[in-house]
Formats: sequence, structure tokens, C-alpha cells
Amino acid sequence: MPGDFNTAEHGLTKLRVARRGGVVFAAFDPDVEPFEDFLGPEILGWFDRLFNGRQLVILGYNRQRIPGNWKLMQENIKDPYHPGLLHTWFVTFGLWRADNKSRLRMDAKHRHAAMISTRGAAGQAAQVTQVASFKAGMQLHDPSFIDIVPEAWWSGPASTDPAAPVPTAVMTTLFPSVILQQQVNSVSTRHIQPDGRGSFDFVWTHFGFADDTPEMTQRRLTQANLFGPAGFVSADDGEVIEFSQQAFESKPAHRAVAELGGRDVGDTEHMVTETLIRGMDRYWRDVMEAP
Amino acid sequence: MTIDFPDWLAITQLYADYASTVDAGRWADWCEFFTEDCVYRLQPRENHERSFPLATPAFTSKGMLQDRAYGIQETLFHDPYCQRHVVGIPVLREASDDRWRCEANYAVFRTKLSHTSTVFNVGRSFDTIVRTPAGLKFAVREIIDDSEMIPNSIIDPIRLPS
Repeated sequence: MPGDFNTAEHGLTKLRVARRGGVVFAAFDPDVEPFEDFLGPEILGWFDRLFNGRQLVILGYNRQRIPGNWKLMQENIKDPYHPGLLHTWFVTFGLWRADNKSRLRMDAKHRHAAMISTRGAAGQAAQVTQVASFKAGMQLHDPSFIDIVPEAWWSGPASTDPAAPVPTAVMTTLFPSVILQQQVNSVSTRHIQPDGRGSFDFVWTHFGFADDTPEMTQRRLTQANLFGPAGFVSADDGEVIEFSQQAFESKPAHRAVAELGGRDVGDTEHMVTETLIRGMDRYWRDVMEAP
Repeated sequence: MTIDFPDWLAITQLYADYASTVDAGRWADWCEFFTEDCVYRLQPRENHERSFPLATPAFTSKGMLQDRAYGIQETLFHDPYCQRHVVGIPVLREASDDRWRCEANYAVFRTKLSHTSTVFNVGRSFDTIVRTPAGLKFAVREIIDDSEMIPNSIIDPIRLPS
């Protein structure tokens, strides 16, 4: 090294760190806005519903490498309509279905979103029997997979509308790389770590709370069978994202259309819309194509 | 530790039959390798070593295995592939007249149509085998995979996503 080389001038990259409710965020951008401003009041309310100050307990990790562009996973969790078409377990047991009471909420810039839904009557509505994934005769040999016990925190501070039903599932997408999952008693974070344009690592952190009973911990672990790389539900998503990426690469000049529910962007009181995907795409273009 | 040859033959045959059955995709038969109150878990090595309870699938009854078998055949949506298990000779850790504890290394190779074969998953299993009126069965299969980064999804019993 030359004599004037000063190691203090060549340190590690310092990250901007924020903590809230036991969750730690880090950003490479030293000028990123404060965490609470970045989420905005609407999405922060849904964040606080899940992370309300209780001590978190890590149950474990799952990792998968999905051969698709990272935005496809954001789109997946911003597309409330596909679960009722694709995921047999969701549609058959009523966990997530287009006719469930639901709300879609975004921050002011439409980059983050919360999909809020309340479990409906499982396997009864005549409308869903036309869906190929609906299995009218499906009965579990071991029903403990869906042994659901409501929890007090589900109503949450975000549910300010007293007429709104208590959510049983809230899926929150934080742009660009984090997904917060509550699907009945299974709670997790999912972290998107891009590995180039056509691949990303998807890291699941399943957790519970320090005041969980042993029975609730076991329930969270059992319901985790629906999610992750082998999940009865989530395995479908990784595979379909791979198919989508293959299609994009084979026809780069082609375009995808996301016009379910119109062409505009805004909160809704139902889930039959792609408005959240349009919102993210619009924000993405504002940032990436700015003059 | 001693073991009669017929029991040793039955144990090694159990492992070989198991691999043959899952490679052939005979899912109803796969469930019959287990006792009614069996435990079948496939756990990333990190969770195992750090004592985190989460497994990738975690089944605690034969009924759950039957539900998985139904999922593999009827509900899970995935790219088709074939899978080949290579299982090492089991190491016998404990032996009694009707209960054995074994460990075995495994490698699973996956081949998709028009693609080269790849190593899909490698690891080891910690097994408890019991004698029943219907022959030897797995009471416990704790599979710890070194391959924590799953290539997209797992459908089959390690061939979880089929």
C-alpha cells in the first residue's frame, strides 16, 4: 500500500437501518426516506397489525431459487384473483377465493400493497364449482392441516371500519423485496433476493410469538405445509413463475396485459382486479424511465 | 450390536423398495411404508443444526402422507420430470428385536424433458424402523437436506414436488 493509504477511508458499506416491531430493515441508499414515511400510514397500519411489539420467535427458514424475474413474485402477491383459480387448497377450503370479503389497499405511490381477505364458506358456493382447481369431493385424511384458531390480533389497529369483517389473511408487499404473510395461523416474511434478471432467491422466515402456547406453535408449523418450496399452495406459484419467465424469454417483443378491473389504479373493496400490479408497474416506470 | 440376517435383509430391502416406489411415482404404496402415527419431515440442515423446528414439509401422521399423495397427483401444478433416488447402505445405530435406528445418505437426481439431468437434492435421513404384523415400517423419517437452496419447488417425497 502507498504510505498515504488510510484504511478508514475504505471501510465496509454502511447501510441505513430501521427497526420496528422486532423487524430489522436495511437499505443501501443513505438518502432513503424514514421507514415510516417509506411505508406510508395505510401500509404501516397493516405492518403494525402483524408486528405489534410482541417478542418474535423464529421457527425456521426455507430457501428456494426460482428461475424468473424478481418482479414476478411481487406481481404474484399483488394478484388477488389467481389463488381462486390456481390453488386447489385455497379455493376448496375457502382460505382465499374471489367471492371472499376483501379489500385492496396501497400507499400513496402505489408501490406497496395489502391484500386483505376474510375466509368464506368453504366448498359450497355454486359459482366456484366451474373452477378447474375446485375439488368438491376433496376431504383431508388429516384435517389438522387446516385446524384454524382465530387470534385476537387479527382484528388489528388497521381495521378501523367497524363494519369490516375481521381479516383471516393479509398479504403485504413492500416494494421492492419483502412480502409479509398472514394466512390464518401461519405467519412469515418472504425476502426476494435477485440473482440477475432471470432468477431470484426466495427466503422464507417462519415465526411465531413468545406468548404462543405449544399448541399454537405446532399449529403454525403444521399450517406451514401450505407454504414454502414444497407448500401445497406455494409450490404452484414458483412453478408458474418459471413458466412465465420461459414465455417472456421466448417472445421478448410480446407484451403482457393486466387490465382486469380496468386500466386505472386505486383501492378496491373486492379482489377481482389487477389494480395493484398496475400500481407497481406505474411506480416502476416513474422511477426507472424518469428523464 | 447384533442383528439377524433376515432382519438386516428386510431393512436393506425396505430402503431399496422405498426408493423404487417413489421413483415410480406409486404414491398410495409410498404411504404404506409408514406407521399410522409416523413422522416424515424434510428439514433444511440450517434449521436442524440451529434447533429451529420448521421443516419444508412436516407430516405427523399417515393421513398427512395420504393428503400429500393426493396433492401430488391432483392439485400441485408443476413442470413434469422424472426422479431417481440413490440411497446408501444404512448405518445401524440401535437395534432391538422389533425396533431399529438407522441413518442413510441419499442423492436425488432430476431429469426434465429435453434437459440434462441435475442433482436435485442430497442429504441424509435419520430413521426409526419398527416391526409390525404387516412387515417393517418407518415410524420416523427425519430427512436433513444439505441442499438448502431448493431448485424452485419440491413436489414429491423428496421427489416431493412431482
